[in-house]
Amino acid sequence: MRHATVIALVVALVAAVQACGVRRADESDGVRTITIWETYNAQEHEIFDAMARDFEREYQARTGTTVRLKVQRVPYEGLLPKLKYAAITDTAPDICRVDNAWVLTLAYGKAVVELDTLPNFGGTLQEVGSHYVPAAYATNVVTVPENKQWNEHLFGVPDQTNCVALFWNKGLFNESAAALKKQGLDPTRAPKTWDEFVRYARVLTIPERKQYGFGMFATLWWMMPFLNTFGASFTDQAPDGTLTCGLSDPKALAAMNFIVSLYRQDKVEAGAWQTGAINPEQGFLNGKYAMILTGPWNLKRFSGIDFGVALVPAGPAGTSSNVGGSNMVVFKSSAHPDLAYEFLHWFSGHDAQIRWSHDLGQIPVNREAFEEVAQSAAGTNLGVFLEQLRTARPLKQVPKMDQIEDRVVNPAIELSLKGQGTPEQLFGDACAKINNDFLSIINDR
Amino acid sequence: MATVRNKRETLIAYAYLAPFLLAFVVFLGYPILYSLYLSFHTITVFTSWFDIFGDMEWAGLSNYTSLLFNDYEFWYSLYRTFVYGLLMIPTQIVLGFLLAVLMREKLPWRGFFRGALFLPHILDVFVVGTIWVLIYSPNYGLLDVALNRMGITYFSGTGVLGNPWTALPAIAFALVLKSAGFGMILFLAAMNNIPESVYEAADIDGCSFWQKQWHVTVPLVKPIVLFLIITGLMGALNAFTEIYAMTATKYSQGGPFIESGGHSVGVTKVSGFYLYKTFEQGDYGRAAAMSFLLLIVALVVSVVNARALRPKDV
Amino acid sequence: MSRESQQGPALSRLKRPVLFVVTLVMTMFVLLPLVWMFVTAFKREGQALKFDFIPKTTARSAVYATTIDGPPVVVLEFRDAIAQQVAVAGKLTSDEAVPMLRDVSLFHVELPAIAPGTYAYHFLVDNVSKPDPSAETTDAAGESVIVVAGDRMTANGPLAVSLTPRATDRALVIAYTAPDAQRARAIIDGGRVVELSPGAPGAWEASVPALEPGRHEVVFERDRSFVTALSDIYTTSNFSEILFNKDFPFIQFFLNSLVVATLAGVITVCLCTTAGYAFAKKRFPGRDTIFYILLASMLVPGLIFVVPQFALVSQFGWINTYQGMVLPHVANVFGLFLMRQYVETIPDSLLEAARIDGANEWQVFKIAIVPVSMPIIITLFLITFVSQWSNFLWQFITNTPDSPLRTLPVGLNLFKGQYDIRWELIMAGACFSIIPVAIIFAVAQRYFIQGMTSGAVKE
Repeated sequence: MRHATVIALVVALVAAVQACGVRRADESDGVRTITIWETYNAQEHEIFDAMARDFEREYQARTGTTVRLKVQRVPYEGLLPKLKYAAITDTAPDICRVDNAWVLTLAYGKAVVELDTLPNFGGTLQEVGSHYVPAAYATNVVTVPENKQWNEHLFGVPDQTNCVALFWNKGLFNESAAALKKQGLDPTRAPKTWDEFVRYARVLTIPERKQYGFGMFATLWWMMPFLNTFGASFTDQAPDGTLTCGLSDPKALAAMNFIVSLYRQDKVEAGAWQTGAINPEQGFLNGKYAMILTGPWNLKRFSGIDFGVALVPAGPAGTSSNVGGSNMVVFKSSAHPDLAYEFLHWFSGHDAQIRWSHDLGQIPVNREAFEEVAQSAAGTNLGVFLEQLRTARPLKQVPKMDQIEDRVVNPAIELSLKGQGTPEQLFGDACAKINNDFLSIINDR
Repeated sequence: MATVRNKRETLIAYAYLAPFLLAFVVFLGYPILYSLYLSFHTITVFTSWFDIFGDMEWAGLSNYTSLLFNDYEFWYSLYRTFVYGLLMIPTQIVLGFLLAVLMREKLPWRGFFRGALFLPHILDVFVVGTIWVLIYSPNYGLLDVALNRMGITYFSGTGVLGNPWTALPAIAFALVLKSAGFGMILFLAAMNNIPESVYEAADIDGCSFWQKQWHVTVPLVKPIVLFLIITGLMGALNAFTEIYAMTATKYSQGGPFIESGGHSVGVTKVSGFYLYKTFEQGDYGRAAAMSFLLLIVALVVSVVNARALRPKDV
Repeated sequence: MSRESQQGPALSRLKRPVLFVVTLVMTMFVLLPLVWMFVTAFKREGQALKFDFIPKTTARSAVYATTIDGPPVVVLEFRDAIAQQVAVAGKLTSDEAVPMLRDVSLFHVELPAIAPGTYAYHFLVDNVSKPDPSAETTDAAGESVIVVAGDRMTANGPLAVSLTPRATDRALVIAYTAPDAQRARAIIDGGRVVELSPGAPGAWEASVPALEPGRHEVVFERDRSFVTALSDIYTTSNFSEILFNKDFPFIQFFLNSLVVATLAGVITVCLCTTAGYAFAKKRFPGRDTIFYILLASMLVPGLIFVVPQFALVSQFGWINTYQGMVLPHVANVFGLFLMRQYVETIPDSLLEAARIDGANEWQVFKIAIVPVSMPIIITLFLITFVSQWSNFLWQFITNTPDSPLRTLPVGLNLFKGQYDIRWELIMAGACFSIIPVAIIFAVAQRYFIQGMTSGAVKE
């Protein structure tokens, strides 16, 4: 009797859920369908979905044929392994929005389409590239091995680009106005060079209030603003194309020593990079870190505090930053790669990007749209990022970048900061490891 | 006659076993064998995603040899797993036992306590880990606020999770609190089986409260202890969710890092987490090889354990 | 009972309270994460990770300043949570854009030395011009209009602060608008506290006589009701957002989780009971070998199964199906082990009795094993239910993002974005997700303990 009840209950549940489930749409009605996986937040998703509908309408009006764009939100976390499983089982989407650091992995794994080989690409890599913000476009161009030689192809279209800049808490600057003035520093603006930065940070570090001048993350990507402003880079390329690790070059070591001194000698950095510590964003939000480096995605989150945004302080090589953001790629399993590209081309075009930027306050990836927004946003916080992007340089991607970061570079950065070895020694070892274990994968090919 | 009956017995027994064995062979047995096959292959960065298993390269024993002879991190992760198990398993058993002893006392609200102590066991490890990260966080976390009140500011710089000495114990502590209730229920169940007369006899012999527990209760709950050790061991070897939740941010995987033997190693990068990272990075061949090495370790430790704790008269 | 009474009376009187306190403290420790989860589920967006639990009933404004014996100061305010920069422009500022200072989401500016007259002005919100929403009048061109009359300045709306120095007696006329305040006071030059008295609805006023000539700084402090302060940090909207979000079919996720966990529990119990019975009560060749192989497989790191199992499931075409989510986990060796241990304690005499009564093999199992094993069966069901209820990884990879069978943990993960994680929503979802598990345990706790106890049939 009781068994019967349990079984009936289970059957009823299964039936109920099956009934409210929707069948996966197929193309049995002959309409070409493009499935898009994206990782936008709720607000971005809404606008993106609306724009997809617009594209459907425009396409219908222009060609008389109906297309369908299925926009599906997927969690950002675990997306890359998920894409791999999807590829294995042939359930990959036509288009997926991916972090710009993943494009190389996808390209090497022959997972995504070389967009420049599509019939409707419309020009050379350079010609098409001239319509995009260079830093954003560059993250999509990958050199891949084909029949014993290396060829350059375009594997994605940028959909979002950003970089970090210096956020400074005006309230904390104001509270220390007298002390700053005493040091000959202007409390109403942010530091413009690293030297000035240290002087500001010293005044703004007040141990008894647990207030620090600066808080930072300590991974390779977050070190890029330092490396770039010191004129260093992650990899050096010899004339014959051989890549070597650049982190043990004098310029890179100068940058690393500077970072270490912020934490160890000047004691102006909060140790925000440590596991379990209050991270820079949280510390900035709580008014404990007077300055941090972060990106435009935090502009809204910080709206509760009085802050300003300034260019990354200049080093020997001037101001510069890293490049973040995401790209849209087309999977090789797509039945309609040309249609998928057409949509991406439309979405990254001038009109769509102006709208995207206007509705969400984000940086356009289209060059013309970028210049327009740069003019109208001049003087605003967003404008600073547009300005910063002109000098930003992306981190050169190499295979197994995640392992290089997790297992080699990030531990070396952490140990230098903790004083368990000098940057010279630690990055010397790290570079040897990177050259032998990782860069050899492409150098030997 | 006897053989006929035996044959029938055997048939019946296998009939009862069949559904389980079928599911086991398909979903566990075959994957194990397939992983063994994978462990002799390697997936390179150029392996096509759409044909990963067809496009793998034969690697021979290189996955195994590189782990055993050329990977300091692997050995270090085993050592950290050992430390983690040592921190977690005894504490969990002792705490579970003590709670069970407390629950045996006729205290007011006993039912509430029993339920409340067990409740965290059903929570998601990831959620619990995340919450503890906040409790442990320096300067603003509950723990550091409390320590500061007592005048201890040693952890304010890094937080307990950022300190190489305290990171792993802190994780173990969080997990012990979560799972102590489970041990408590098991002990409670075993203790309820002990006849009251045994305790009364001990009382007559003039045993104190703790003497009674030690001489009467402990020997009788030995199977539970063995059981908890084995499950704890599996927990330690498979531990990755708690590490993932507590010391693996986007910015640091398994830190804090220390310098050991000329290598930088993460003190919370236990072997389960190392395996998870290898697996996540799509290095399935290497991950499979690592799993089999871990299996050997687990087998050895369990056999040693079972031998050590087996009652002498068997 | 008798055990306690035989101890020394003084000791036993002390023992119980001490043990009670010890238990209470331990329980509090153990429950800490749960309490935190519950509290976070009620927090407002952006408040989740702040160590900020106690509502503050007293709030302070920014610092305002005015000059006695100087020309009146016009104070303008503008509230906007998203704007980055706001400036005021128009005739009032001689057609120059004067940036406003920010205090949380309140932008404000003091414009000194404005001669009496009527002025038009507008705000530049991130370089887009907008009229002042709180201005009483606008002109034909859509500009807001403010009247600066003699030494008395008009307050400019519901969120306004007005500091008006009066030339005649060097008094400072203060008007402060704060509709959420119960009491308000002004602190002048960091020392002198002046209680404000209620004026027009939502407005607070005072006139402070005989101030020294020169600049004075004023800070306002307002007492809010506890409820208002509470609602600054806490809200119940997370729960409704989880339940009624159109992009987040909570009910569907919840039911799917329920089905998956229930199915897994039921099938696991069926398989483990039959197999456990065979191992415990049957003699057959290979019994110990098979059992030890099964036990050893328990030690294989679980991650290793994921890729091959996934390949299998996709080969069977079981992506986005219940069987794909459930079946790979039903051969639970741990469950088998539990069952065997338990069935072994059932006396053979019970089975024999059933056989003598003429029961066949299946009936023996049904009559002599299953009813007696109910506690362990329920225990095993609970354990399986809980582990599958929160199994994220497997359910995540066997469902495509549009699958109608996605479960709750998979759904909740949607609140983790690339840059922001909505902890308050995840925690609210987690609160919902422990409800069924907690209910089942509360109902079945008796059996669960029995399952481990085995009670009646112990030899």
